Amino acid sequence: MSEQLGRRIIEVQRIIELHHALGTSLEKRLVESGEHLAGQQLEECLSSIENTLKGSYEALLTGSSHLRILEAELVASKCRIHRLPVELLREIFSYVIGGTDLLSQRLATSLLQTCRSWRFIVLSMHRVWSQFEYSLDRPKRQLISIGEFLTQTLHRSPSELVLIVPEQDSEDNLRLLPLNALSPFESLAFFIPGEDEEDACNSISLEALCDRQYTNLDCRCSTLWLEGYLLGVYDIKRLNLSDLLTRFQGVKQLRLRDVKGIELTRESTSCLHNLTDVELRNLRYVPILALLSATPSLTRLVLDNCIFEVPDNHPVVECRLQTLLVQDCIRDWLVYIHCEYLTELCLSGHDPGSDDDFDFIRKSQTIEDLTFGSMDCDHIRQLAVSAPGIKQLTLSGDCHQLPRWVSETRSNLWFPKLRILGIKSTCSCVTMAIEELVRARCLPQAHQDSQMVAGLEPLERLTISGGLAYSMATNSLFQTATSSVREPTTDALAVTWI
Amino acid sequence: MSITIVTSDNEQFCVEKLVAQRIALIEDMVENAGDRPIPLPNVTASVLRKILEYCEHHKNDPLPPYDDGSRSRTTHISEWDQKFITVDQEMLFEIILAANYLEMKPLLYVRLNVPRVQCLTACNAVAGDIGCKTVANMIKGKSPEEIRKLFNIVNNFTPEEEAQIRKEAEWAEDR
Repeated sequence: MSEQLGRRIIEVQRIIELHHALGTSLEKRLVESGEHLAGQQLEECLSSIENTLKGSYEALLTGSSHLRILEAELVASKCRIHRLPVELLREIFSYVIGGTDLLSQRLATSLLQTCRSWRFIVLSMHRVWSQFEYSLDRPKRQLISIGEFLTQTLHRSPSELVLIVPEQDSEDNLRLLPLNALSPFESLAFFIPGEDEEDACNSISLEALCDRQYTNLDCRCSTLWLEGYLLGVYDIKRLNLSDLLTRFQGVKQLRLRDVKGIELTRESTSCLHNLTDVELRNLRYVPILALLSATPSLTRLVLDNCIFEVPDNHPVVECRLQTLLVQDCIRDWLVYIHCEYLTELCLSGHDPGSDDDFDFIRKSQTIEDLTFGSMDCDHIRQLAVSAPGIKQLTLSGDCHQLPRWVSETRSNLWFPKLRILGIKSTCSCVTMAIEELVRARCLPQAHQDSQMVAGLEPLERLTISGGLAYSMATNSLFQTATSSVREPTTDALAVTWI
Repeated sequence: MSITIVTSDNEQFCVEKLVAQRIALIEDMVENAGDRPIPLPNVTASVLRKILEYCEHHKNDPLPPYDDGSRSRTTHISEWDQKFITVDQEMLFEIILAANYLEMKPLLYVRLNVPRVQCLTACNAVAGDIGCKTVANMIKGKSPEEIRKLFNIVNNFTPEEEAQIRKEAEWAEDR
C-alpha cells in the first residue's frame, strides 16, 4: 500500500514540475515571438502556445484529482471504524438512534450524511423509519423536505404515520404532504389539538380532511385515527363519514375521538362496507342505527361516552358484531339490533342493569365473554338467567353485595360453564366472600378445603384487581390453594389453578 | 481446571475453564482439542488480555434481560466498564471485533446451559457490546463533519450529492 502511494506521489510531483518548466518555456517563446514574428506566423505561434496551455491545464486537473484521491486514501488508511462488519455497525447505529421517535430519527439523519456506506446501512434499518410522528406547524420548507425524504429517499411509506394538525396554517400545510405518493399505510393518524374549547379552527382542519381539493391526501390505509379536541364547540359541522372514507380508502379500522359527531350521506355509504372495527369515543352525535346498517362487515364496535340519535320505531338491524363494548353511554338503542354472532360484550357505566340490557343479553345467546358494570346481587341473578352459558365474566363496581351473590352462586349453580372470573373493585372489606368463592368455585372437589358441588368444574382463573387485591395478597387460603400466582402486581392478582 | 490459549502473536494464556467457556468459539474448540493449546489466530495477546480481564470481572453477573430488539436501547455503561473500555480507537475496535469473532456470552448462560442461539440473541452485556455502546456515545450529538473527523472517515459524497442530502435532511431540523 505505502509503496503504491509513494509511486503515485512521485507521479504527481512530476506533473507539477513539468508545469513549472512549461511556464518558463512559454515565457521564453512569447518574448521571441514578440521580437521576430509577425502576421500569420504570430497567430500560429499563439495558437500553439494556447494548445500547450490547454494540455498543461488538463494535466494539472488530473494531478489535482490524483492528489484528492491520495489524500482520501491516506485518511482512509487511518480509519478504524470501517473495519467493522455491517452487522456491528448496525448494532452501533441502533444504540446511537435509540428509538423510532422524531428525536431518534434526527440522530439518524446525522449518520445518513456521514458517508455513502453509512447512509446505505441506516436507510436499510427499516424499524427506524417505520413510524413517523410529525407536526404540521413547521416551516413549509421542512414539510416539503419530509415529503421528499419519504418519497424519494426511503422509497416506501412508513407503516405508521401520525400527523399533528395544529390550528395555525394547517390548511396550507396539509397541501404539502404527498400522502397519495406514499400510499398505502398500515396506520394513518391525524391529531387535531386545540388551545381551548372555543377554538373553531379545528373544524376547518376537519373539513379540510374531507375536502376534495386536497387531492394530495387521497390514499389507502388500513387503520385511520382521527382525534380532535372539540368538546364545547357547537357551531361546527359534523364529520361526514362517507366523505372521509371516500378519501381514505381501504380503511378497515376506524378510530374517532373528540370530534363533534358523525353523519352519513345516505346515497354513498358503500365506502363503509369494508369497515370491520370501529371505535368512537366522546362523540356528541352518533346515528348509531344508520351506522350499523351501513357497515355489514363490522365485527368489533367500541362506544365510549357517546350520545346517540335513535329514531323511533326503527326496524331491527341485523349485525355481524362479534365484540360490542359500550361504556358510559345510554343503551336504549340495543332493542333495535340483533347480533347473531356476538361473543364478547361489555356493558358498563350509565346505570347497568336495565330491562333493555338483560333483553339484549338474553337475545345474544352466543356470548362467551361478558363484562358487566355492576355487582348487585339481583343483576347477577338476572345475568345468570339471561346468559347461563358464559365462560368468562368480569364484574366491576361496588362489591358490598359480593358475599350475598357468592352464597347464591353456590346454591343455585350460577354460570356452570364459567372458566375465568374477574372482579374489579376498590372496596377491600369482603375477603371472607372471596374465600367462600375460592372454596365454592375454584378448589377442585378433591381438595380438602373444597366446597364445590357436583356438576361444576373449577375455575381456571380468578383475577382480582383494585383495592380488593391488597387484602387478598396475604390471604392464607388464597395463597395455599393456588398452584401458581402469575404476575402479581400492586393492584391486581391473577391466580391460576392447574 | 484450566486450558491454554495461544494468540496470533504466539503468546500463551492459561485460563480457568469456566471463564474460557464464556467464549463460545473456545467452548467449541475445547471438546476437540483435548489437552492441546487452543489457537486464536485472529486475536492478539493485548486484546485477549483485555477480554479475559472483562470475563473475570463479570463472571458472577446476574442474567441480563432478554432483548428482542423492540425496546429503546440504552447506552448506559457502568463505572467499571467505562474504565475498562477507556482505550485508544485502535484497541477499542480490536476489542469489538475480537468479541464478535469469539462470540462471547455471559457466564451465567454457561452455568444454566442456555442454548447457544439464545445466548447470542439475549446477551447484551459482553465486552463487544460495551464497545459498541462506547462508539455510539462517541457519535451521539456530533455533526456529520465532526463524526468524519473523529473516525477519519472520508467524505465520499460529491459536492452536489452533499448539498442534496443536506437539503433532504431539513425535515429533521429543530424548528
